[in-house]
Amino acid sequence: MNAMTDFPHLAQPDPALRQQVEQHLRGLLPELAPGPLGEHTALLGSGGLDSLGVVQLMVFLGTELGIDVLDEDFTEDNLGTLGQLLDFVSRKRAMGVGL
Amino acid sequence: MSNTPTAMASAPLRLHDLLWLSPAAPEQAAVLEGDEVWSYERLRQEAMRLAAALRRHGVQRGDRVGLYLPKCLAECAGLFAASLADAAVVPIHPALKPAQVRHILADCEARVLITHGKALEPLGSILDDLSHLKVLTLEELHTAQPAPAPVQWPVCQALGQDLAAILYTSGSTGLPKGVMLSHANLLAGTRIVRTYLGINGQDRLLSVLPFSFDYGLNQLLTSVEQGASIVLLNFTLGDQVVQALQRYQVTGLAGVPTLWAMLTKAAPKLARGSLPHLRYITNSGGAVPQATVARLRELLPHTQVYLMYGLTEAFRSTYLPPEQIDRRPTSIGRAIPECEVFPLTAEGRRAMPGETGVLVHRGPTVSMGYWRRPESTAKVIRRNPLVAEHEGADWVCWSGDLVTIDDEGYLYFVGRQDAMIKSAGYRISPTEVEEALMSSGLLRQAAVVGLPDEWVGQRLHAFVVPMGLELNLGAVLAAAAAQLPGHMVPRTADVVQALPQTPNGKVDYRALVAMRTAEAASP
Repeated sequence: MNAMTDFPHLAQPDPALRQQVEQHLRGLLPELAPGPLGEHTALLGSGGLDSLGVVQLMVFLGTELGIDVLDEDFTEDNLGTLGQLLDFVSRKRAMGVGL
Repeated sequence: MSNTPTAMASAPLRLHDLLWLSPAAPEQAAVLEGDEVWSYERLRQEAMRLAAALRRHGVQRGDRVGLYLPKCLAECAGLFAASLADAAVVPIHPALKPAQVRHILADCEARVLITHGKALEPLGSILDDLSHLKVLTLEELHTAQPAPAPVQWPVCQALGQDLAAILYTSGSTGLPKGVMLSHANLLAGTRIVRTYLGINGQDRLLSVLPFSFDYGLNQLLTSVEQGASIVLLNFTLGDQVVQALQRYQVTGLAGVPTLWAMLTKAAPKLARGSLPHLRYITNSGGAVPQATVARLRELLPHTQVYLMYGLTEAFRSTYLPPEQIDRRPTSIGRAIPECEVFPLTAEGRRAMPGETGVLVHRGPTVSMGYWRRPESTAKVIRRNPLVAEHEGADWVCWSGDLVTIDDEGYLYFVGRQDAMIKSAGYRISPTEVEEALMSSGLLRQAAVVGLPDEWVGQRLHAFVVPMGLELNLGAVLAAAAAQLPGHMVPRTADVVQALPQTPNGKVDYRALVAMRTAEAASP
């Protein structure tokens, strides 16, 4: 299932949403370099989120962005980089449309 | 063995005796990490090599040795090395920020810190003015020192009653305090836990908790004492835990409530696979919601679930035998072997069944109190209130937790006497977080409370009173995030014009919690 192709107009999150996600990430990872974050910014691994950080990020996506986070969403493919995270957010929000 | 540091000991008295008197065959796996395996022989050699380095750098009997490392094989060697060198070990949580690491090293006046280059980098020059401290990195130690010369190891002088470890932990106020543990304390904890969990040489434990946490440290000690194997894992996703449990055919896992939340809600591999080797799991560091316990038992039908309760000052107080979960789902269990645990009323007598009292713990795991803090120690480590001092009253631990007891000796948690927060298995002092928030310079006042949370037990929430009319809340939380490890940073906050006060002028934390929880409960 690939929701992105079903909702191509929703594939890129709007700038406000991106900013919201970035701001939250900065709270979780204060060591992130200042300035805009690139798509390839690594979120896991050395210097990235720890297990509690992953949980806090997912809780934020659930409570602040209204995303229905499922257990199968906790994967490296969804959380590995900022780009992957934003794709994941877009996909989940697109899936939520019309429910 | 001629070259043995245990000398005449026939039963373990000191931490390192556990390793030297272990029944394991020398070639048997002691510690595993990724694809690397250290046998018992290798672990002994590495511990001796580090101990020799400590001695070379002037460590003497009674000195403190800090360990600031991620969970790794060398950290295990370091724990035993300090004991071999007659010193007390001070494991420092790897997630702590530079100022907190400094606080611990300065407070315990450590002689040596063992760390590695990457962990040292963010510390910069913050340790430079600690003149008592010599910083050694694993890299230096590896290049500088080949295998130790086969000399007669000097017999260790320490007694079981000597200080073996200082574990830093938070209370309700101020900076973390060091809980002093004797060798006898640690060995009693080892003996007691392996007895009621039935840990034996066939076991393979998975270690995900830090060794700076008594609960995590105890796993290593029980494993070594019994000649079992322990697998070290640093993880970020629940599935990595499941994979490790499968790959190493783990038989015992210790965790805190957050781990169980992750395994039941954020580990798809657990729902798809089975773990037939997993004999038991244990929880401590906060209560697990009943729904999570039920889900775990569904996912792990062959595994015994042990719910336990303890605080570092007395290590462990109670456990609930697995067969009691259905009968007493809300109980924290009954006293661990060798100990007596009961609620004490304000009048200083044992509480009757159903009556609330402070949990008091007697037995060999009662710690030596807080390092260089006699006033704090006097509040927590006191004479047995039920026996006159001149009639042999022992030292007992006042937990600060309010509990009730039932007719059969099972205890039930009621609440804390103070504002200490327990989140993700960590004890968090509201004042330490409040000070970090205040350091933003944007606030008149701040108060931090724990709110009920399905993932971490209690999540941190701040109430802030702004200095001016406008407040950049993001900047306030960022100031805290820069100084505190992730588990201590509030992720949500309310801006208020004033904080409620108790009649004697203190911040009314209960009222703040009530304000937030009442809101959440209303539709």
